[in-house]
Amino acid sequence: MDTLIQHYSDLYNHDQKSGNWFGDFNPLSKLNILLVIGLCGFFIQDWRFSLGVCILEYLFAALNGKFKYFNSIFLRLIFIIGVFIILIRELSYKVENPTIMFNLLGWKWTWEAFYEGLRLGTVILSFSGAIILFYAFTTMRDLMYSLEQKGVSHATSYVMLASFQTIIDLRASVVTIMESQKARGIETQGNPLVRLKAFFPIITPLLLGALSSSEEKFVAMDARAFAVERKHTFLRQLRKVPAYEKLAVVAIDAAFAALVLYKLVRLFVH
Amino acid sequence: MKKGFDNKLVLFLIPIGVAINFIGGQIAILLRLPLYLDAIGTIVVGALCGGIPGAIVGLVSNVLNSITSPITLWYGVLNVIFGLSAAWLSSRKFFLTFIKSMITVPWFAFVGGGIGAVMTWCLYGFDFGSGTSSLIAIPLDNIIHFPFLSQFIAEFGIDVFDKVLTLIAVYLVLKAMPTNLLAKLPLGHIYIKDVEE
Amino acid sequence: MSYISLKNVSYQYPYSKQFALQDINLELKKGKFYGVIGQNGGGKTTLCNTIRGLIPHFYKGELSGEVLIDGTDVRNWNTGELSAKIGYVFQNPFTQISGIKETVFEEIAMGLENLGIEKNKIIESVISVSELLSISDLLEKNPNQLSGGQRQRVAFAAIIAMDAEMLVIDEPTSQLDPQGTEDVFAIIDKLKTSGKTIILVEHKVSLIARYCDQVIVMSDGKIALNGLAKAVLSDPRLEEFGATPPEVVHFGYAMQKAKKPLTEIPITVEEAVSLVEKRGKQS
Repeated sequence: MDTLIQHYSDLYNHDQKSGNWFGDFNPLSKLNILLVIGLCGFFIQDWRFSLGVCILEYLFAALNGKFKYFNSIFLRLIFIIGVFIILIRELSYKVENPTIMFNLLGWKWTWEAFYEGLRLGTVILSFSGAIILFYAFTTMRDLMYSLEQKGVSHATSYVMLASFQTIIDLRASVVTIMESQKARGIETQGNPLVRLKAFFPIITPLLLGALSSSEEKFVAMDARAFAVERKHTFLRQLRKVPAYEKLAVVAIDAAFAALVLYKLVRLFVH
Repeated sequence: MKKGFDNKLVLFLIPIGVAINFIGGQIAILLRLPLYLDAIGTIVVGALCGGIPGAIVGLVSNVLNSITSPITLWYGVLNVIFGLSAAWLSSRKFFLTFIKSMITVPWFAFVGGGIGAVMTWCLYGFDFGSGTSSLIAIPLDNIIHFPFLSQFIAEFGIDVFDKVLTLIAVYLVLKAMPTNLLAKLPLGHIYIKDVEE
Repeated sequence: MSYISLKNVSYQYPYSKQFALQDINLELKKGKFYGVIGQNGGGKTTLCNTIRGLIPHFYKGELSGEVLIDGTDVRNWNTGELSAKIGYVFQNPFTQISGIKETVFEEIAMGLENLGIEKNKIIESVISVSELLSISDLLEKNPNQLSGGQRQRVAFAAIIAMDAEMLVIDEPTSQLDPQGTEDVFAIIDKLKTSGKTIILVEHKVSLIARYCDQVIVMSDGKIALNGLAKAVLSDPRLEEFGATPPEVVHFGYAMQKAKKPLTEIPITVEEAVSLVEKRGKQS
């Protein structure tokens, strides 16, 4: 028993460590920094800048041991956003006297449309990459905890964290309900109309069951003093934000503010 | 967030609404239906609990969605409108009958598809987006020569199918809600039929 | 003075014409262990909800009469503070896991975090309660992946850790095997010895007979019988009210019928054995 107490006091009386220097940043600092990086592309609107950001994001993930996570999401986005946008632009973007890249069985690809697609695609990808990086280095639990410290109610944390678990729980129920409805003779395969009809006997019991369970959930959470209006204890503790981290955030925000200001001035002075 | 919820059960319905938004899409995939069906939770919670809880369901769903597809963050505003309008329509008894539920379809499709098209238009530099809708929008544009309208019609058209199914599900669920649960929800009284013996 | 006092209490759920509770008069004393039995739909859970203050704070409906909790009318209690004063464990182990904690340790600690207990005190409480319920080996597991029985123990541990003055326990052993059930009763008994007031709804009458000081029989929303465990469980009208007496009670009556009566009707096997031995010695 004493060794257990020792183990848990060591665990909870020290800062939670993620094992990575950036991971140990406060969640809100990470969000701030990455949002700024992600939004820059929208203001600069230059494919060279945004493509550079994308490459740096890739490198950053790789150097900090998150390549697999980052790549699994980002690679998909390169295809469904990046490549697709270029294709669409080659179909829709028209200029006078276009420079032809090549002719694909009568479909003339132009450099103008290509760069147009590239610009937009990389802007959106660099924004997406920043968000992916944020989640790669932050758990929802720590994010909510840092928000609670800023005065956000623990009801908000409950909503965010419980949503995750409810999705997992309901996914398991979908399979169960689908099997039992099949056993009761509801067709889930065949022509689209048949499959369409099968949707309702699956979603309705699932939703009704889930909604009804909320009542017991309330009673259970209430029994755990969810509604007590006292100052909460936090078992886990996050690192106190060090000076260099604060400095980094301020510097990045200042640079971003300068960029936005510059773009605004250009908008009017031009 | 807490202060707005004098009704205590509402808070516990929000994660369920969020999960239903995700599960709708999952069932669609399992049944190989080319639809999203990702607003059922938002509309049901909006209809039962009011606009703000409905909007929160929509917003949280979008934040969670952004983990795997960050660009959806921008479309969060649509889900907020879904939640708010579900409450408004609910309090005017639109979800009490099947016919009236179906009357709301164009509105939800207008928000999801139409305002969605505006979002796409702004986000993608005033041009076609990157979804399947652009595959309809571009040929359409070649006929009517009005790119934004083409995108608008394409997204609206696709969304009508989605929202018909969504609202049938919403109607069926609201109709089957047990009285004891309805009695605890802010807009539940609308759906209570009669006093049981 | 009674810890809980119900005077002429009646209650109807919203939109229901039936009375879920009707004319309930009940006094619960501090430090006693009360068992509640009776048929399903007889009002057992509604009684628990009333004592726990969920009626009228959560379940709206019509509550009449007077419910005093530690001398204060239930309507005047702050619901949050009430939840710290009276612990509540119920049947379904799946909804009782919060779904927002990643380890059993943090799951059990959650109530204490909400109460603002000091961190090292939380750690001690969680560990001692997990040893009491033999779940120390689960502390690092994800509570959302446990079996029903394990979840039931974790949910129970989470409430015991909060150290409320009173515990309302509604069928806590539904997912447990006979040994697990015995363990839980032994733990509840231990809690009683440490001064807690306990009210337990349970179908397993033989265990009620063994551990409870007093037994309340609910039927059709009314208290049909209420008194010392011995008197209530050996009452011949018990089955009329939809409650099943312990097996040995049948044995006691059978002996009477066979004109070989024991000096009294036993309610536990141990008691029956000693009564039979006594009878053997006398004859």
